Amino acid sequence: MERKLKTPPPPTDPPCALAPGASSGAWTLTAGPAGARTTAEYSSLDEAAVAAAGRVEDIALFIPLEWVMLQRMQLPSASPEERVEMAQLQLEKVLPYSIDAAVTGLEVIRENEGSSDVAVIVAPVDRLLDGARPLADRSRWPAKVFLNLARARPDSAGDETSLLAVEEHGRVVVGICERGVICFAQPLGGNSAAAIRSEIGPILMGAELASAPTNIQTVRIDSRRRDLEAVFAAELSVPVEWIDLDQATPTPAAADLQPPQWKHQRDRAGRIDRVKHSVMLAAAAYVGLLVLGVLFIIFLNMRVSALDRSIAKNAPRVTEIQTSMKRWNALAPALDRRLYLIEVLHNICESIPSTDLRITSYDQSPREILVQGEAPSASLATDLNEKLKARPELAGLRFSAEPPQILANGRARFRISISFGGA
Amino acid sequence: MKLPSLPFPLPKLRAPDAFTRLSVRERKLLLIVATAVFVVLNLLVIRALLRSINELRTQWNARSMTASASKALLSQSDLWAKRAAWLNEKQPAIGAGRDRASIDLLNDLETLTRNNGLLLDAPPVINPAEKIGADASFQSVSVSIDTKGTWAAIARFLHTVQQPERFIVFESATVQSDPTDSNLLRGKFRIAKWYKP
Repeated sequence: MERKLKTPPPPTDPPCALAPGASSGAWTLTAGPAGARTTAEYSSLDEAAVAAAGRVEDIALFIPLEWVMLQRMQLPSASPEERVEMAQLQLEKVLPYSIDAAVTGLEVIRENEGSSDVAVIVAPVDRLLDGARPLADRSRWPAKVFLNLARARPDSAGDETSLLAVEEHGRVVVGICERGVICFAQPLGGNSAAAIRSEIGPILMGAELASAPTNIQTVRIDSRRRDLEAVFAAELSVPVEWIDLDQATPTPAAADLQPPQWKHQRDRAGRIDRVKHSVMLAAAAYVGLLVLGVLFIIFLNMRVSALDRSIAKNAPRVTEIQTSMKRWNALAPALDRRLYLIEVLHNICESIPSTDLRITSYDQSPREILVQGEAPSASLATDLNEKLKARPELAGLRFSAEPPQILANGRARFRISISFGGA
Repeated sequence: MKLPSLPFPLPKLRAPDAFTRLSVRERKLLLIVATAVFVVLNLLVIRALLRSINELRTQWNARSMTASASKALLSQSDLWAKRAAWLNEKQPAIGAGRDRASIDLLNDLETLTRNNGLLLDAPPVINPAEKIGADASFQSVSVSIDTKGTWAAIARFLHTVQQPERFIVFESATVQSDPTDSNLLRGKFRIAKWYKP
């Protein structure tokens, strides 16, 4: 047994089915996951289209028989494209409108030697466009278009010929399904047992005239019309099956009658939706950024206001302290021992590197101290300056020294300036 | 690429009738103009936002520094309160007038020079009062004296005269070797006493 290694894709709901309802003018919308699909009936296609347009799944449109012409033909054996062309050539003679203004769906019933039996469905594009307009107005285009009767056809028919009966807009539509292909269909005059009883015979006769088989082996009827089981059984003497149209496959293996321009429109609508989506996302992100910016401004404003309040609260005490500091600093020359004359002199004396070095003059003014002296050598004079700078007691004072001047006796005269600017 | 889903359905917008009546070229022109106006408006909004944010950040930084400085000052509150109290208690006030204070200072200095073995080279001089500013922390009374003595005597004098509770300041000081006797020093001092303002 072959084992699938790939994980299956996430389950997505099958397309929702927009189909003619049982009562006149009514339409139904069937949606939901396979096996649990639910159907809602709406009084008009507009209402059903509104509901369908609001859904995310694709839409499969099932059109009533009255929108199309169905014909069984026998064509010479040819390629599928050639078959369609041949069918169109034949139909052109009987159609009241141009074949170019119609969608043609062709299904092969049987391949014979040299010929093929086919069923051709022709739907005028204008009719389809009119029908799909409520959806198109909401930028939704059906992804598939099928004949409504196709919902009743058997999944695997073999050589069997079935008679299908479903209700459309207040009357029963009867079709003959030959080898799984609907080759003949006709609406009855009503939906009652009496209408069936009176019309089924002529219909079968008409089918025979249209070369459709009439040796019916089963009858498949809509499970909502079980009351018709007896009349079909009595008239045709064959077993009757009920079909739950709600749970029928939303994309039957029937001819897709979607006009080519719908695909283009759907792609275009999809592109527009994607652009709208992207623009909305970008706009949401942009607005989010702007809102964040505004919130950040509000946050900063609150922080600044909080700091302002804190500063204002402490301001009187801070002013008091600053006044005390200012007064203390102004009186520092009288209070700070480091700035006392004797302390400065002491530090200078302690920094003298050699007993041969002599201070000859000490001159202090309010701004600076000028120390002059003589040293045995220029290096000793420089040493004195460096030692003064290194003393922690004189930290904060600014020192500047001119290059020592060498005297005639070989001694070096020096001059060191100490300013109070940085203290 | 799969875009994230929107939390709301896409709006079904219909162009106004006036727009649908325009030709393709007119529509293009209108869209270009509308886009340009939109971009300019948004640039203005973004610029205003960024400017506000920058200004507020600058303000916040400045306020933070002020607040930090205030906090640091407040943490030293006790110290400065004690210093203020000490100054109020210890700094002398000119009670009997400026002249009296000058004479008292002069007498003090004469006594101290004598007691510390210094000679007065010249009679002490009371300096004229200097104009004080409105926010001055003191009133200064100063005297100039010329002394002569040994290094030890001068050191003792300087040590004695300048003590925290005396509020004495050397406005200028010149100490030089005596040219006649290298063991002696000559000192010219302008000494001030700082009273309460």
